[in-house]
Amino acid sequence: MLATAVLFGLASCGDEFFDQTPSDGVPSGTAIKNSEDLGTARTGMYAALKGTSNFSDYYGQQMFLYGEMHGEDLQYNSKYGSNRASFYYKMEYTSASNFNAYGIWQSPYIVIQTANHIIEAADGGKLTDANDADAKALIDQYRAEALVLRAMATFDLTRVYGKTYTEDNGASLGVPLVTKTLEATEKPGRSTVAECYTQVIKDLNEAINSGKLATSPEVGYMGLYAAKALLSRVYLTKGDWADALSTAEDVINNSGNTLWAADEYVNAWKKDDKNHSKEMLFELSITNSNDWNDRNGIAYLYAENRPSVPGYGDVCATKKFVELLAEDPQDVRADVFLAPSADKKHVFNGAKVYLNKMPAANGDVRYSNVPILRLSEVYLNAAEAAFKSGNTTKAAQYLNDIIKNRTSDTAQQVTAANITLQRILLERRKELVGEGQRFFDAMRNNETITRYTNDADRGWHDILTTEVRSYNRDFFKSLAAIPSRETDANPNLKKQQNPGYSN
Amino acid sequence: MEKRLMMFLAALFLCVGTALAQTEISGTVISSEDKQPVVGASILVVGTQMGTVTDIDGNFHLTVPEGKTQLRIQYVGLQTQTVPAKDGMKVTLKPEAGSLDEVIVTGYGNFKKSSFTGAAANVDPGKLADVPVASVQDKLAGSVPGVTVTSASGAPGSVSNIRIRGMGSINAGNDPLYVIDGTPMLSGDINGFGQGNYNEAGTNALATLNSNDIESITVIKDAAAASLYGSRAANGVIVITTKSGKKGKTHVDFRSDWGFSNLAIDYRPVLGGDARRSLLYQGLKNYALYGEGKSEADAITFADDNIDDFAKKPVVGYDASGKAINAWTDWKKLLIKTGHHQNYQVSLSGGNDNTQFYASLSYMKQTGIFANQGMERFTGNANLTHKFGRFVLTYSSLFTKMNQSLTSDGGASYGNPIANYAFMQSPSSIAYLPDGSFASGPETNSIVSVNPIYEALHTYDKTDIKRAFNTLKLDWNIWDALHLSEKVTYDYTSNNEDVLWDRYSNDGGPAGNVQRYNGSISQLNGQTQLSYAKNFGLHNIDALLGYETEKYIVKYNYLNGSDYPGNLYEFSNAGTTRASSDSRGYTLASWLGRVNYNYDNRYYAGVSFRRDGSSRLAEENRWGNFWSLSAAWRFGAEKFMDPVKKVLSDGKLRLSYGVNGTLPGNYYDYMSLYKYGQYYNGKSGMAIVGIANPNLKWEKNRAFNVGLDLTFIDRISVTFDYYVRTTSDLIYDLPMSAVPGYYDGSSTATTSPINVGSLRNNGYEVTIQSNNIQKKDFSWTTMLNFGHNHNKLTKIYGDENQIISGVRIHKVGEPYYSFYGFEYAGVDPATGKELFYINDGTSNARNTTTDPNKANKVIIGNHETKLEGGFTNNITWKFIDFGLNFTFSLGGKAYDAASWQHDNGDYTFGGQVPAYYDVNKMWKGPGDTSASQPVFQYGNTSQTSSRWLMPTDYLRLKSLTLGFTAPTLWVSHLGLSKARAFFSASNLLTWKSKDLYVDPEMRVDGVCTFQTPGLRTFTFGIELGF
Repeated sequence: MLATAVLFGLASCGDEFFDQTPSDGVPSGTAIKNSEDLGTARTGMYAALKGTSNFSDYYGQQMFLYGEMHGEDLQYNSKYGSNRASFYYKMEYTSASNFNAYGIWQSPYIVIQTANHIIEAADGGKLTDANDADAKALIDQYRAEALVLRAMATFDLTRVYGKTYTEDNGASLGVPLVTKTLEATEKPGRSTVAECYTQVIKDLNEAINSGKLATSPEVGYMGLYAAKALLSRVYLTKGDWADALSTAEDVINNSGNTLWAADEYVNAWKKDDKNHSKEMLFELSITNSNDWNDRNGIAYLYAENRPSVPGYGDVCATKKFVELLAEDPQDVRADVFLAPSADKKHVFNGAKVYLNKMPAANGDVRYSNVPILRLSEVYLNAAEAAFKSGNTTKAAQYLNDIIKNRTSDTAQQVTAANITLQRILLERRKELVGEGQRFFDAMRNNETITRYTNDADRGWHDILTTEVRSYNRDFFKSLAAIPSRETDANPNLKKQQNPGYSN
Repeated sequence: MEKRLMMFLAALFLCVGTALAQTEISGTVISSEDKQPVVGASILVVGTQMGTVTDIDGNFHLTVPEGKTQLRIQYVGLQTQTVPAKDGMKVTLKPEAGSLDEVIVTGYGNFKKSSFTGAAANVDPGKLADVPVASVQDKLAGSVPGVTVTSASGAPGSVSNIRIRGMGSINAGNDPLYVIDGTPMLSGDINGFGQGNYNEAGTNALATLNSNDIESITVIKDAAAASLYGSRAANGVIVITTKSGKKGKTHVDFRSDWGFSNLAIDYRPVLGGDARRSLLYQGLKNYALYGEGKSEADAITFADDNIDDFAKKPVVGYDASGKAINAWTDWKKLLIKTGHHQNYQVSLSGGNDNTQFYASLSYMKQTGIFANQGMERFTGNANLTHKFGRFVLTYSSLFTKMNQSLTSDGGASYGNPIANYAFMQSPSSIAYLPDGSFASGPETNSIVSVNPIYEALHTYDKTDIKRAFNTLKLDWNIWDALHLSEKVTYDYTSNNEDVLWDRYSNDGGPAGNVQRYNGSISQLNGQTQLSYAKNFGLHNIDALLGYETEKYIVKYNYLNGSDYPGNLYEFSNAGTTRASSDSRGYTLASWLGRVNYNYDNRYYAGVSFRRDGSSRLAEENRWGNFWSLSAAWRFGAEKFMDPVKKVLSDGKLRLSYGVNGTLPGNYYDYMSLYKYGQYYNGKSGMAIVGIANPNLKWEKNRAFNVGLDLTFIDRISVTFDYYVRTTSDLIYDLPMSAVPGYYDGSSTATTSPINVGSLRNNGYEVTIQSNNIQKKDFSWTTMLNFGHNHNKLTKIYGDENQIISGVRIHKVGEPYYSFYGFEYAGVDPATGKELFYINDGTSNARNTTTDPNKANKVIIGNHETKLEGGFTNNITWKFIDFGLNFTFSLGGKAYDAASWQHDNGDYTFGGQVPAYYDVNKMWKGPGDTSASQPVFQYGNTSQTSSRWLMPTDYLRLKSLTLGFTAPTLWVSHLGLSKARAFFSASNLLTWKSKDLYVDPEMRVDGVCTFQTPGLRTFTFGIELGF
């Protein structure tokens, strides 16, 4: 009988009958066998750094919004936006649970986890082709990249949750430090900011000194000079002017990268422009609709919702910033903003407000790369570090390198005699606008961020609560709350929540 | 008929005159109802202890001693008869009133309710046949105590959730096991992309069944029968029996109905344009006064300057002179329409002694109350039974073609028409520009810059289901009462879903996007059963041994196309395409056995055992044992009850205890995996996805039940059950710290499935059924059922005693669905802000604060009801039949999670303002102590507090039916055997608190946002028999 045959057919299978395996993964114990598998894991690590439309809590989206929406140069576009960029702009958050949707927390730790797995697989001695010279070179390179990414994620977390280093020399709480693979059940508490910086600098130096990072890496991957650029940013944030300067100068002198000239500047942001790679030390590479972050990518939030090239239009320049750029009509950086294609509520009066540093590729901003480390920043780091170490000559030299390449108005240039910190920071704001740095720069320099002071100078701002119209790093909201999703699962962190926040 | 029986009996009495010596006699007992033999009827020689029981063909042999002439023949549920003994006699027993004669179908044997030791209830779908519902589950509402039917959405074909005796699991599923004609079947959501992705309605697997093909539904609630289903029976079992052919002339039945539907309640009422404008004006003024400290005059100027940003009366056209016409937009009118439905069905049945058949065809079409909501279904069913020699062959085939269209609902997505109506649009936003064309983007002036009317025209979500469910069964009567049966079932469902956002839509612009899910779900079941049922004198034994296997595979291909140059949205036209696919499945193998014993139909005992092996667990945890013990005592049949028999006609006490289980919901959770598909720079990378738990085990459910069945004056039956269900080793997606860097694959959550804790449900259920009037031309039956279930989380994990996720808290000692927030304490007279109790556990706890940072969140309520049930009346008078079915629930709470609207003035400035904002009740200024609502002020924020709890008490006229049957004499001239016309309505009337602004039949957790509410349906139909 057919029925009987089927029944006993199934019955006779024994234990094999229960061997059901998924079609999309392999048991983790046997997943990384050789350098090729390690390369696949490396792709996974960068994927975590890039995020997805679901994981937008790091460089995919929120890291930029965190650094910009808190500031005074860009704002949430309350008249046309989709509310995706309003959280850090309005700063109405009062509790840890408010940060569940927007907090920068999970993805950086996924980056650290993937990096730790790569480091441990490389160090574990079990990779089958570790004796092959070519394979060994790859293994070492991936390991070094993993160190850099681990450092970057740890540094970013420390900047978001811990007081800026210069405020108390790193004495207060940073974030949980993870330097090896952890069991999923572990619940680490916070280390101090100083401990976090020590680890970040150690990782970066180890990677840099290993000699295994690529000097001219493939687009989208961490190379030697990107790691050094990051290190100069870390030193600068730490207030270690000498190291910040020497590391920045190393990049300036040895990387082979050069600044975009004024006439190259606007187009160079396009990833297929011939000059694009000149300044770009590290950017997230997006190639197709599998690896994009779709509409949750930062580029889509920056872009105006045009019929031909849509975006959410959540972010626009503030009126004050537009006026600031307009003070120098020769400054090409005004042109990296686009005027609205439609302004049905008559808000902007034709002003160029939509930042276009991640311009459409193939007609769609979702395909644009995401810039993370750029040579201009290294020049600005050098100028600031030199100035703070008292070397105004060098400070003026590096600042003028930037100014010369951005405006034909020579009156904008500085001299060793008249250079001020304020001038350096102003140049930094103009140059790095939209790249997620402003808020951190203001915090480490103890600047007061002023969005508006009264209705008359409100510009295009939404009505903000009084406390966030103007504030500095003494304001408790200048530190993020650890999301309650974490503190509820991790009692050690619940005890170490940043002050001022309810659960 | 009765006359003939009397003559027959009289003739028998005449024979008795001649005295008999000890004689051997044989006879047959049949039931008057179906003319089928009565198996296991007891035959007693009156005045002796001698007796026997009838065999499987209803036959008996008996030696009657000299001088004895009368036999007493009795059978549970049938009226006892005392008749003269005669060889070759044929006794016809008539049914007794009450419920004890119902047949309980367990899938592993059928039992008269009177002999059933467990807790189970039948639903007669015939009584609810006139109410058109797509899915059979909807017929269970209010019919069985302890059974709660809820739905996340009122969209046609949406998924229903059934809870039997509360919830026994957190993660592994709370839905009962559905068994159709003895085979566990696919149930739940079969939507391709899945419920909760592009819609919250989902696609109900059971909506593929034509409910008119269903003969009976039995709900098994306790362990006695459920344990035979082992690892999947912890949440009870719903056993569905489909119609099969009956011997006799071929019958043709035709039925058809048509009707329409609308919203059953006034869903989330909102303020009209003028009321909204004046409230927002006040909100701006309050902001200037109290937020900015401006003077009254400056505040008025500020409000005047800004009010048009938020509440301008939009221009809708121009009059002949070119002057603008302004009017508020009524989004309810624009977005909600009347739904329609129609239904046609024809069935044939008949057969002879050896072969019987039943066949049916049906077509159903429904449209929902929103654009793009609807379903269309075509079903066919054939069932054939053929008897030859010692074999019986049964073949049944069900097939379905179903198309379902859905719209986004549930959360606040831009396409969700409900969220648009209730939240994202406003009287000041527009769907049409003054020239009549569609408004788009910022022109709409909505907070999301989306026009839902326009979007509906440029998007769709279409599901196409094809299902074939085929069963072949051969039963071999090996010897005497020993049967061997082999059954194979193959259930194949293809589920395809297309989600289109075209070039002009908000989601798809500028170049369009199509997503297609081509999936299939197949389930192969094999069942071998060896059964033996035999009576030895007064000892009755019924035993079963079985072996079963199940193999389940889900496969899909996913296609995504974008960058379309034109309006043809096939993938070959797309500029960019991508694809993915997956295949996953599980296997289950089981051994099972059962023995039921009863003595004299008075004392019953049963034992069952099942051993299941599942591929979803690691080898060392793979096999689990499940069992049950049960007993019953039918004291109503005892002699000592005779004196009270006139009042208490029958009675039975039941007891059962057993263990069954629940399998993990996911198939590979015990395996730690590196998963591919982590894309970067055009490459597929890999990473650890999912937080595995190699020690994952079954959830164990221990169920105790005690029940009492009583029948009074042969007319009123009362069933009472008390139960305790404890579930241990609960699988919970335990939130883990994100710091180690792992995360769950299906979402971004950092959770891992862990057997963490235990839950306890206890409760009672009462059913009272009464045949009030039972006359030839007039009958009236009433059924009242109600029950209460108390759910309590008894253990979580280690020292953890609570898990918080948003407004939901799961805390030891509290019902699972508890709500967590600030305790609202009214309005602060000084500032007009919301006051919260501090609740810090000190003597300061009952003091209040306006600062949420100083207050502590506490449990503010739960979703558990004190009482819920149904009340049904069925009346037949001459040619009219009338049925009423009410459902009710008392003492539950729900939480309005539309928190965007709770801010007393923030999102409400851009969107709708709920009607619960009443300017007259609001705080008017410092010192106002009479205000019951806080100050409405621009820029306020919202807090999760007890202010947003809603009472779920309701009474609902769930269904009403009125039918007219033409007298047979009239229609027989037309060649008809039956003609009936009917009207029915569902959810006709709902009584509820006005503070409940969503439908009372809601999501199981009681956390409500923007789900499609229940529909009020009106139906007109006819039924014809040939």
